[in-house]
Amino acid sequence: MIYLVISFILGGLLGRVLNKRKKIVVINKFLTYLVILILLFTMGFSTGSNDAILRNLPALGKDALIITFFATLGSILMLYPVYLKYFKEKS
Amino acid sequence: MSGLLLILPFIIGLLVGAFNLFSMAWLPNEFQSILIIILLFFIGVSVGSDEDSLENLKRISLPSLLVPISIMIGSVLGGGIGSFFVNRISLGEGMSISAGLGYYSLSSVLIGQLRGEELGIMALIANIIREVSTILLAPVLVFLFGEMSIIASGGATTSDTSLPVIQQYAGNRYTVIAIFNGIVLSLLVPLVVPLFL
Repeated sequence: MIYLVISFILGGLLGRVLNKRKKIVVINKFLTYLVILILLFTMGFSTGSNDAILRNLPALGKDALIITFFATLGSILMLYPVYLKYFKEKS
Repeated sequence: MSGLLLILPFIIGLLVGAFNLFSMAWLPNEFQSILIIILLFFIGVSVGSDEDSLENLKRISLPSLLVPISIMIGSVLGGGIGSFFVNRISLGEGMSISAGLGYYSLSSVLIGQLRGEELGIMALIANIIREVSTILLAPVLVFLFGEMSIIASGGATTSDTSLPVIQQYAGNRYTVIAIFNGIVLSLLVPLVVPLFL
């Protein structure tokens, strides 16, 4: 976890030094997506290569979907008043 | 890049893994963690070169702390309610799975160890669905519940895998709070998941 923070701060400092150089911004955006694409691929791969998950997928998946739906909705509804009070951009 | 396009590598990876097209055993275990560290660096560069989001950093205070806390409480309560609609699991198990907040690797291992493989697999699927649906549904969530609903939905993933869609659909304004939220929740997940088992 500490590496994540250090990496983010180092990146932030570099970004501050480079400050809005258009070419860097474009290249950086491309690299960000490249890494996220690889991450999503490896995530799919580890799911697909697990036989136990694949066999029970339909039954377990349906139940998991129901739980996730309520959990996610709970988070969204609980955060909504905090968003309105402190974070929503006043127009 | 649209959310739908982002899901494509996941589906390709799933098929490649399912049909054993090639082995990825040669990759080090830390591969994903290293990628996430690199990702954070790139996102840091993006935030650092953007003055608006730096202004936003000054707002990490009580309201900022309320974000991860309300996301965790809402998720656990929601999962508890959801468990009444599922025969297979108890109230506590539903709450425990929901406390994973998309951090599927850790929560599934923890739950699998405490309550057996089947519940562990369910935690894995539930939390993968949470992460993937956050990426897929980001524009819909923003439309229905405002910018921060992506952060609520993303849970513990908002400092890594769901950060790009937050940046795209909510804007750089919410990037710093998203990273803060993801880091706090990633620390909370291993503490809260076992509480209900």
